[in-house]
Amino acid sequence: MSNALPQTNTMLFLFQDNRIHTSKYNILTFLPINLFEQFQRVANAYFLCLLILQLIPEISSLTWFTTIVPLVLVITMTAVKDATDDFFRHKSDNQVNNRQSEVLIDSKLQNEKWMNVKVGDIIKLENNQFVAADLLLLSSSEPHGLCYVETAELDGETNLKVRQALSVTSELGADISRLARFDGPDTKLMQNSGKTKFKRTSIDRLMNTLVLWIFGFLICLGIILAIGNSIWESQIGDQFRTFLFWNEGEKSSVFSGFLTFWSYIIILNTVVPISLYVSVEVIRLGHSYFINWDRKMYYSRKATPAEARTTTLNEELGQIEYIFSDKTGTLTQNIMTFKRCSINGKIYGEVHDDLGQKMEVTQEKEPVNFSVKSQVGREFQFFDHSLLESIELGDPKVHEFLRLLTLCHTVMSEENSAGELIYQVQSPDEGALVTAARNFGFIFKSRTPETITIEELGTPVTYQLLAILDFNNTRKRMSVIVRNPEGQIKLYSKGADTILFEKLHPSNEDLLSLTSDHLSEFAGEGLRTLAIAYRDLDDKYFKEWHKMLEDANVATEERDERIAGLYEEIERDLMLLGATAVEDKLQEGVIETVTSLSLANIKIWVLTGDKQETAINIGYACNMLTDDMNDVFVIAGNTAIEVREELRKAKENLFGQNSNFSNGHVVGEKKQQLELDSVVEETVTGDYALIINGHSLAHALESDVKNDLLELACMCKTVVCCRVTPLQKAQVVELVKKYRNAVTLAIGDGANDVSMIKSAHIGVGISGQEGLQAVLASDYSFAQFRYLQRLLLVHGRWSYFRMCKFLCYFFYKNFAFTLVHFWFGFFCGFSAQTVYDQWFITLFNIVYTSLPVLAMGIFDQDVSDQNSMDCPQLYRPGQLNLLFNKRRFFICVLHGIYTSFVLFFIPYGAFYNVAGEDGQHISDYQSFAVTMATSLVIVVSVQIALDTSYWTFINHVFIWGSIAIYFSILFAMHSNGIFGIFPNQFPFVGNARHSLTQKCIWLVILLTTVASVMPVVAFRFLKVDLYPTLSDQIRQWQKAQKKAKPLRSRRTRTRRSSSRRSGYAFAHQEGYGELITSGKNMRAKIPPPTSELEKTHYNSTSWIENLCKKTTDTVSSISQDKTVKL
Amino acid sequence: MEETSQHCLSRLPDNSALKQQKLPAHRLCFTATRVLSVFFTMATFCLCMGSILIVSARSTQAIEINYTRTCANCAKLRETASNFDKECTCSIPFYLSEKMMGNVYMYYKLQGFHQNLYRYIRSRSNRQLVGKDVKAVEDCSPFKTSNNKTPIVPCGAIANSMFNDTIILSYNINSSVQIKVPMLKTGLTWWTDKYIKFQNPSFKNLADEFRGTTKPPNWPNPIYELDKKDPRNNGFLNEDFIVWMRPAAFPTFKKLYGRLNQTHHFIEGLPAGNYSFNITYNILLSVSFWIENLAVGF
Repeated sequence: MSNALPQTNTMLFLFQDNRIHTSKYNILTFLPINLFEQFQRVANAYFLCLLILQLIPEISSLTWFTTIVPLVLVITMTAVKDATDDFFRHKSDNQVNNRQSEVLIDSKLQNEKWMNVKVGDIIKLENNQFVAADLLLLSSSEPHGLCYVETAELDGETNLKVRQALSVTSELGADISRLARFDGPDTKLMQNSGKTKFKRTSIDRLMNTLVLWIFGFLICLGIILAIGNSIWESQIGDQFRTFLFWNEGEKSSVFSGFLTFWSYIIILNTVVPISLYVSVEVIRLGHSYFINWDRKMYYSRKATPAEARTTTLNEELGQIEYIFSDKTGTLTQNIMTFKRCSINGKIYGEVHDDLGQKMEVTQEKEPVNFSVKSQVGREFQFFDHSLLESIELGDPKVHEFLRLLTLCHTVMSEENSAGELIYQVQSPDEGALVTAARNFGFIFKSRTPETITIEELGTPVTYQLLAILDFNNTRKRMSVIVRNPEGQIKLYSKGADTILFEKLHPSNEDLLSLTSDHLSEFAGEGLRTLAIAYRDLDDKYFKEWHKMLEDANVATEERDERIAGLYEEIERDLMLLGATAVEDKLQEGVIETVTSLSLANIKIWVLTGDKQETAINIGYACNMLTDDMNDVFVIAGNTAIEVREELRKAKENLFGQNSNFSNGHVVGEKKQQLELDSVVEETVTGDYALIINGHSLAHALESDVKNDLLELACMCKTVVCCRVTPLQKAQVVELVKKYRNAVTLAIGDGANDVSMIKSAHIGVGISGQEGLQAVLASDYSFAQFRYLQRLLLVHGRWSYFRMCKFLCYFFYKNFAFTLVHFWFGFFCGFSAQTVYDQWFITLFNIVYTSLPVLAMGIFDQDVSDQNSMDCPQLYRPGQLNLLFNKRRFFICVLHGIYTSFVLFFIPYGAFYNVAGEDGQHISDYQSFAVTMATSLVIVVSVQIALDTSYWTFINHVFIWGSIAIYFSILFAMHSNGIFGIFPNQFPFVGNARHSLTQKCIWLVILLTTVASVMPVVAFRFLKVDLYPTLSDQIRQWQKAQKKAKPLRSRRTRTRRSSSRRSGYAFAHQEGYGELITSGKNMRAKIPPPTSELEKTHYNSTSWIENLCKKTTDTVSSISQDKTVKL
Repeated sequence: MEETSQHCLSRLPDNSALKQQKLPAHRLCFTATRVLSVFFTMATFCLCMGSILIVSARSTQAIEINYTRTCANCAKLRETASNFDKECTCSIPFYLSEKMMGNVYMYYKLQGFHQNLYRYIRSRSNRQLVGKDVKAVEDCSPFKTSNNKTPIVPCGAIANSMFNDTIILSYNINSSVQIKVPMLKTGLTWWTDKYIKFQNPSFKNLADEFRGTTKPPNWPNPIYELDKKDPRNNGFLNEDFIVWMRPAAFPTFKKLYGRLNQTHHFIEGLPAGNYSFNITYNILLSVSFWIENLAVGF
């Protein structure tokens, strides 16, 4: 840091200003840059090539406007979209750039806009202000030049991080003042906001393949027609030479065929219409807006709506097979509440009924009324009055326990304007403990570096703070040494039970075993536990120790080791006080969501940095692990060989049991099991769960074991990976992505989930407590895990359904539209004469038929959202990719070819020998073109009408409107007036009037429509009637049950509202408590299932054993700071 | 913090039916009753329509006589390019066993003549044909100008290849008396073609208007001498010309040549008996002569 300072002056010119640019364009550069970017896309470039081909007169078979009009339209639309995006970026840039900060200019503090802050400026920052740039802390108003920074926008952590000014500069000023170090685009934030990997959906990839196939098909058609042309020119064309000379330089039939090939490529290019990609984008955008607008995914408490941050992945939401979920903040709320404690061998916080049986905490039970206390934190509820009674009775152990909670922590207190105490906490567990103590009358008031002032049952007491023995990952405990007003020196310690129990004084043995039991009980309920102990210190001993500590502090060599040794030295012979249990609250509706998603055959893997026991407990709490499971495999080996052995055993176990039920249910066959009777299938194969910790995972992810792991994991219903690093999270996702070829979704809330979110097909961020990083990396974000159910089962499913329908129809439409040219080729000497008017070709895709199919792609619904939620099995077709795949594509193409055949040959038959009613001829080319075009528009409109299963007024307007627009444009272009102005461009004058007044033309149109649509109707009808899919059944049921339906939905609504009425904290507790108790009761009632592994798992949770096992957890080194929440 | 509380309301999505995807809608369902009723309705309609059409088609009579073979000597003559302006006639007798009632139309039918070739169909100048600028020949390749750069009127391949056989139908009242069947050369074209799409530069003196231009290479006479009997049927407004200039969709097509003028012997139509027609042969390809009465349309 100090090096940076002198350089700043000399290198000033190298630094940019502090203006932030996230925008891409300005007014001048917009057009060239945007056009350049757009033509980098393959599709646009392709159409540009086509346009250039069309400009060559020898092969131009279509006039230039047929391509340029759609191309310009498409490019304009994209440009407008880009421009609006950039406009908003400009706006937010401006907002940031114009933020004010106080800068020292000419030795005076002046307000300056952020963008004008220069490198080397001295800035004064006040509390709760945003930081303008990367800064060097010079000094602060806090003692020792400390300052607390929130880095939510950098790494997503909302925990306050401590930064200390250099001691030299810290005396300079009273206010926080800082020196700008890096500006604008050089700041850490801008440097880190690397380009996110561009994600594509599987439909996208399929579409690209299909487009390539279509090109191949196009070239084949071109070759056939070119050969036809060569033959025709040499056989028949000769007779025509007198009427139609060959142009100069093309006097051979082969050369003519070559030119014809290109001409036909131009004509037939509409099989891959330019509007395809744009329409897909528009539809996806629409779906994204629906996600943003969904009130059922709006979290009112945080005022956060769901947000589709990427607009290109929606249909993939309907194909998810694997969900990788973070635990903290995603499944759980990351809100810690003090639930239980064990003080001196007695449990507090349990609620007993009259018979002494533990009972469920329900809302009927009165919580302890804290309202008499002055400084009661909201949302705190405790159900055991006995603790309060003990406090009032003055039980010294209880008092000491609470005092410890009040003293031993790193919480900062501050008073807000209303005079309320606000705690700034580093870890929520700690906050929960301090808040709990505060509610019981031991209020932490304030601290200075030397003292801690607390209020003990109304009397303010100031303790001298002698030392803080801070927490770290290996110590897993923290202690404070204080001198109370009586002059006694005490060491208060809290920490992981495994560690702390080793430090106890031998006299604690009885209490220890009692407390251990309590701890395992707490842990069994999924509570997070800490052991609490104290030690009375001798004054003299402490002074000696303190001196040694000071020596160690200034030591230059082995400083850390020496300090650690000293800490060890004083933290022994502790007296156990008890234990605390803090509840890690589940998010609302997690259980229902998990249940419903697994019914949808989505496998949920929990990847967490937490320890195995906690993770397993949350697994039970969320219904992911149940006692009905046939087996739970725990892989916890420390070496590669152990891990391999464990995996092998688990697999043997799995396949051994499996073969009893069904032989040969190999994973690979899963794809073929198209039946929706998942329930049956699952009971056959049985439910298994796999629990693997990060250490074993590291070995299991090695190349040769990888497949074993994957195979095993994929057979299991639930997979829990605990103690995993962010990198491992990503590795697991990559593993599944790569070898299972399945669509994956990762959901998380914190910075440690970013890698996983980025590597999964779809990343979902919880816009919750731990800041923004996950959300910024995600594709979708919302506030609650439970919204995932709606996102996938409703929005994802619909998006997939709509997109598939859209693509099917689109390919059908364009094949039907284009292939008539092919048929016509055989009658026009393969001369690349189009069937339709050039204007019709120009407008067909972008005007006449674009809106109805867009409306279908955006609004269509096969079943209602309620039904999709109620019946998760409806999600299966998406996972199996049934609605749009290569087979479906071929069916669509065949349908299109059939339609084009009918479209061409019925009018051909009719025109072969026809004459008008007044004897005048109507079998001319122009009438034929008009007849064909009209039939086509009507046929595809009828087809879209049949395809649309959800007719809103928008569909009506678009479908009828398109037909109306077709006829109005037709008549306008065939009108006398426009011919008078452009006689060469609009040669069809009077044609519409003549042709469309002939009855026989209408009969031809009718016959064409019937012949092309009726087979499809019949086929669909038979299919729905004979082989109905689940959604067909539900649609029929829906129709039949129209009256019963409101009753149903009312019932579900009442159930929900009742749980909501139960209040804030209780809404979570009900589901949670019910589950815990059910899980726990079951475990208590039913003797532990036959599986040996589970037994060992229970044993391993036994604290006594842990105590005996002196090995320190090596894995802790990989877990981050957050392991404070043990 | 104030910001978030303000956002609170504004960020709540609207509760409109559109945004919540709750638009009132009709769900399309392929129920048996619906599908079958549509099916049978369509079937009945198509059956009825079909039988009506068949009945009406039976009521029309048509005679088709191919004269290419009969006039083979003329065809042979034409094959040598140098003989294109030599006149060649042939006559074909035929017997009409039943009389033809009502309106009788005479068509010529060409087989294998590709009026729908891309270059052919584009080889015309609408600007010229509408009389605005008789020298506008840009689109008419390869028949834009003659060798000495004089613009061709009417330019283009379509005009150049115009069917110019003359067909005269005669009725043999008895073996010796032969009368010409009166044919109308009007009403052969669409109204819009005659009055909008095709216009002569002016009606005064066509020859003057077309000065500085030349006739198409295959034509024996210039455009203003197409119908020597009726001066109004000349220039771009010649009905045969207009009919020809509307290219056919398929290589086999028929075009209206004349309508029976229902006078004298022919007041009810064509009586049964012996007929013959005399052809001034020009065309190279397979040509038929086609007579049809379209009493009812269908």
